Amino acid sequence: MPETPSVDRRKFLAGAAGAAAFLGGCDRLAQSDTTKNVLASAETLTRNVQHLISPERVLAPEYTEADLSRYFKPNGTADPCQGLRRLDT
Amino acid sequence: MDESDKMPSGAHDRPNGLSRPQRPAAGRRFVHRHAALVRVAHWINVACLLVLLMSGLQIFNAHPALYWGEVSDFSGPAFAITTQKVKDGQLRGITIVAGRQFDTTGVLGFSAGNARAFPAWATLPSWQSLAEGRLWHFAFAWVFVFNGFVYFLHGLLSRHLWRDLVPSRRDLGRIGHTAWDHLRLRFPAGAEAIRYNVLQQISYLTVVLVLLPVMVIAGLAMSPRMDATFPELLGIFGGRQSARTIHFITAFALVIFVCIHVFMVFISGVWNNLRSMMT
Repeated sequence: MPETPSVDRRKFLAGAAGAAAFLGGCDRLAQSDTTKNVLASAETLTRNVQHLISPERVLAPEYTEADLSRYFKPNGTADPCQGLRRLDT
Repeated sequence: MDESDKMPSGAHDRPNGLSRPQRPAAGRRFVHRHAALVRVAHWINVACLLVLLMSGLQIFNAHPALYWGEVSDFSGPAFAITTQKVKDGQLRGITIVAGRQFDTTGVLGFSAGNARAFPAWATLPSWQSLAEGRLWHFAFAWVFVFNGFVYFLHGLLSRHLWRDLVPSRRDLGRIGHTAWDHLRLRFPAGAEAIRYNVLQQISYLTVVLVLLPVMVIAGLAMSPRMDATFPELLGIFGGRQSARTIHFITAFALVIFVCIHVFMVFISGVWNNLRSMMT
């Protein structure tokens, strides 16, 4: 019996190609400066709204000494003093 | 295009939202299933949620671990996606859920030759960039919030939420029956098909009134300035790390909802359903 062309496979391939084109399109779009400028304009909105709704002198919540973390994750270097000393000399 | 173009009668005096059945025209009957505003809001929401999800995964990748409480206790995350070196120097993606480890190489932790939590195809942008992920996320968060606000306002004013989404006593009484029909993939036809059934009502209401608002509030709770302005935000969730975890869990609840939703759209008559949401 001759093999009938698999329509499902064609559909699947077309779908996969479409998805790849879509994702590729996303990347091209995401790389463009225009896109980034438009997206960044939302930050102005965010800033303005934040200024509008939060009082000027609002402070971050305070914590007691008991709230100090037992473990403090080093960011970059585990021994900042060592790093500073190296800079000094 | 609007189906009402093809239909001679009653196209313009219809009420908003789900309309009454209209006079049969040539054996077929076209019914305005959704108000124009609901249709537009739906598709804007689709775009927003897709961008928010993918850019959210990008942001998550910058620190692919979740914690409960106020502190990131690095030693015991509730959930983490890690890349680990096994004996022969090979890299494996290991996902840790509540202390249990799962090998998720190929998708989570290690994919396409890269050590990264979520794979490139799932994040926006596809390359690793926290800064650009945040740009997308916060820009589309605004679109999402505006869109949701307009939808909600319209839902209240047109009484769409109340009339179409809040289940009636009668519907609730038949919930077992409706669920059983759904499990056998038997769907209502005729007049019953042009309104939401009780399972739809409950799941849509959960999404609109619970998941999406929790998403927004948990998102705001991660903003230091919002926490300073509204310290209750941290109280609600019990810390910024909990808020982050809940934000993530809610996102996945929405993904599951979308999967089921799209599945149902497909098996209950894909063209009719798509047309009803477009025209």
